[in-house]
Amino acid sequence: MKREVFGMKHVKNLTINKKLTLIIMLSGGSALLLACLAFVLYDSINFKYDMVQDLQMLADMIGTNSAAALTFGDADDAHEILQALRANPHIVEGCIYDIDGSVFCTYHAGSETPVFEPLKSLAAGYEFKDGYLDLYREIIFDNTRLGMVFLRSDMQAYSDRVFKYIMMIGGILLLSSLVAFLMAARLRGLITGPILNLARMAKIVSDEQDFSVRAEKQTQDELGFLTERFNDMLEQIQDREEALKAARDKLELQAKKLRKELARRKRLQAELARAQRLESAGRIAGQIAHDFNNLLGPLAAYPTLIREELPPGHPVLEMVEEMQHSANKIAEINQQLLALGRRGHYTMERIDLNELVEKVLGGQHLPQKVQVRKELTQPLLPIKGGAAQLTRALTNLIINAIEAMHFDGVLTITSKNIYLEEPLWGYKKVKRGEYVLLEISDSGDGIKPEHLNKIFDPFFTTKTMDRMRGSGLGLSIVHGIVEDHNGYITVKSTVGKGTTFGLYFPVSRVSQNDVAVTVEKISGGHESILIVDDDPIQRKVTSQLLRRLGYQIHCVDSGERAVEYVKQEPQDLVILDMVMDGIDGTETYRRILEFQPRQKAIVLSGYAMSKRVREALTLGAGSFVSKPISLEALARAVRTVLDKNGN
Amino acid sequence: MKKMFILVLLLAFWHPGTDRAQDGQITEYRLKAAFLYHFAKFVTWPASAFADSTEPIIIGVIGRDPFGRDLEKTVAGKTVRGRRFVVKRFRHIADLEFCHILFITPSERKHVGEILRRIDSKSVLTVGDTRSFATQGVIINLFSENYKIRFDINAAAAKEAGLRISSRLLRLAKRVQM
Repeated sequence: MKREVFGMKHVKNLTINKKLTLIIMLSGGSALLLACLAFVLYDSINFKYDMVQDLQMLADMIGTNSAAALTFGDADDAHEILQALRANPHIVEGCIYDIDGSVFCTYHAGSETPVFEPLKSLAAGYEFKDGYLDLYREIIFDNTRLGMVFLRSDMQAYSDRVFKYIMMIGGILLLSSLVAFLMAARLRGLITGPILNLARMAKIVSDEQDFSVRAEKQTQDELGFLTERFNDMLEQIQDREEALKAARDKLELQAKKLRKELARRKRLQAELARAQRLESAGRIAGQIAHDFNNLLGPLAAYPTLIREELPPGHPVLEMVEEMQHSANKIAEINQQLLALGRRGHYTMERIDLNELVEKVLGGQHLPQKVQVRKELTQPLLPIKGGAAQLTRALTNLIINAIEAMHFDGVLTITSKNIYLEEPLWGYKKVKRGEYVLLEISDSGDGIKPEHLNKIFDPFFTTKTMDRMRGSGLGLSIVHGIVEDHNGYITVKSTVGKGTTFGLYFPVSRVSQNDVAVTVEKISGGHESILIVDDDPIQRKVTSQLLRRLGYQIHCVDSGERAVEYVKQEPQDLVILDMVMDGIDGTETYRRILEFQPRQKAIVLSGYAMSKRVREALTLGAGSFVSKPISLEALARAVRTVLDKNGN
Repeated sequence: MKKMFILVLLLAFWHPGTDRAQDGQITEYRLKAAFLYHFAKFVTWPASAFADSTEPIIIGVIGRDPFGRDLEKTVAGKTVRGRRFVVKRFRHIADLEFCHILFITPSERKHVGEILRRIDSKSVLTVGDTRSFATQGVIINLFSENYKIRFDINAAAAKEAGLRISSRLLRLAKRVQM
């Protein structure tokens, strides 16, 4: 049983070609074998019948021939007749019986004489027995039964014939199997050809993932149908593949968009973080600067007063001069800090950057080994800006460049008129228009790419050596100043070759009068002035300055007191500190205006034009003076406001 | 009648050459009578020998009759090819009439030539049992040998008489004169 299953499995694993051959050979062979067997069976039956017929004929002949012998009782003659049987080697025995059933005459082929018994009845017939054919035949002459003939034939002819047939069938089977095999080998291609073709196509499809191939329909039969269905299937797969690809492409596009969006958000986040960083740093710096400004008041103001108190040539004068110089320097640094916080007050004026460059270079003490190359475009379009701030920005950049070159190299300053359309490095978009480009290049170490994003951050510094240690504010301030001028700043750097900073400032076409600076003699007056400041030093410095100019000065330390005081004693002018404990300068002014609508006022602030300052100016405050106060600026502001119409 | 039937049966199944020939009951001429009957089976007469298909075969005996009643007893009720038998006896040549089988008895030894001339080869099967007859023109001549009755055949005479003798009979003949 297991063997059979194994055999079946073995057959199942054969190739279709072999299976077809096997089927053809088996079916053809078995059909042929069956046909041969049927034929042999038929023939052997026929042959036996023929044998009987032949033997009957022989017996009849003998009977007829021996009729006379029987009639006349001539046994010798009958014997002679029987001897004729020798011609047929298959007849082994023969006998003639008379009408009584007695043995009349016998014949035998072999040497042994057989014993013949008398017949009990004269019945004709035949019988195949023990490999012999026994035949009894009546002898009839002239309608009279004379006796019986008995013949015994061996089956040698039959077995010879059967053997011949077996050989013949074997030969036919062998030959026809060979022919069938050859024909099958040629004809099975009709069936296996299209199948193998399909299989090959399927392999190409699965190996190369190529769904565009098509199997060739070779026949109109079931295999042709199969091929068509296969092609249909491929087409469907191809369609799906294309749909899938389209969907994938779409997804990829979406993913790309998402990635872009994500990158954009990240960048925005980084920018926001940076802005917040800058802002907080600026706020801290501004806070410090505000405090410094107040403290700086006496240092900046008193030297002028002291100088006036002292006779000329007094030895202290020089010291006072030095003090004032120092104070000015401190004030300038303070302004840097304030600029960082963007709270510094800018005096916007028309500026030619070429002139500014010349002035900065002229005022700068340059190391001997540093070679300066100027490529300044003439005429350069004017811009509107704060000269002090721009000077500071340019100075910062030049100092940076010199330090980056280790005091040895080429410093190149270029100025150009350009028209900006394309976004610049580090900027998402720029405002289109005319710009003046100022480029400061050095041949120094360059900036590492990973630092490029951080160089404008406050307190970021690569200068670690004591001698050159920086505050980390320089580039941050430059950045702030440029942005305050609605400009852009770019940096290009190659490590080992140098760095180029580009400053873009929008061109100003505003007329010159607008920003004209008129230098007048400081003049005083006798009007009554109330100074409102919560800082005692500031109150003292301011009041002393103005008293010297002849004004009637009164001081209060809060907005509330100021309101009360003005109610009692109306004043020509109120000088309000903007930031105070309690109500601020703007609020104080608003309350005063409730009962004294024409009250003139000047606002003092350490911050640049803040919202509150602007509100105060809107309410009617005549002027705004930034801290630390310079005597000249304050005096001029006081006089200007007091001289305005309406009083 | 019943007795006669049994005898006929006996004769019908009697075979010459068996031991029964010596039991004495069966005489020589009874055997020879049977022979005459059997010869009729193996001899074909020309159609002119019979008037019609039912005409009997006439057995004639010329000379001194040795058969007695045996000849009649042998052929009684027998037919060959549908013909019955009739026995005629002729004492002298002058009495001779047409017959199909003519047995010439030994008494006519000297008149054989005359008898044969008288017949003139007319479709008559002549049978004798005298030694010299065969050479004189008698067609079948019987003789005894080893206690058996045998015969010679003169085929030429038979042919002359227009008779056809079966080869089977010819092969039983001791001598055949052509």
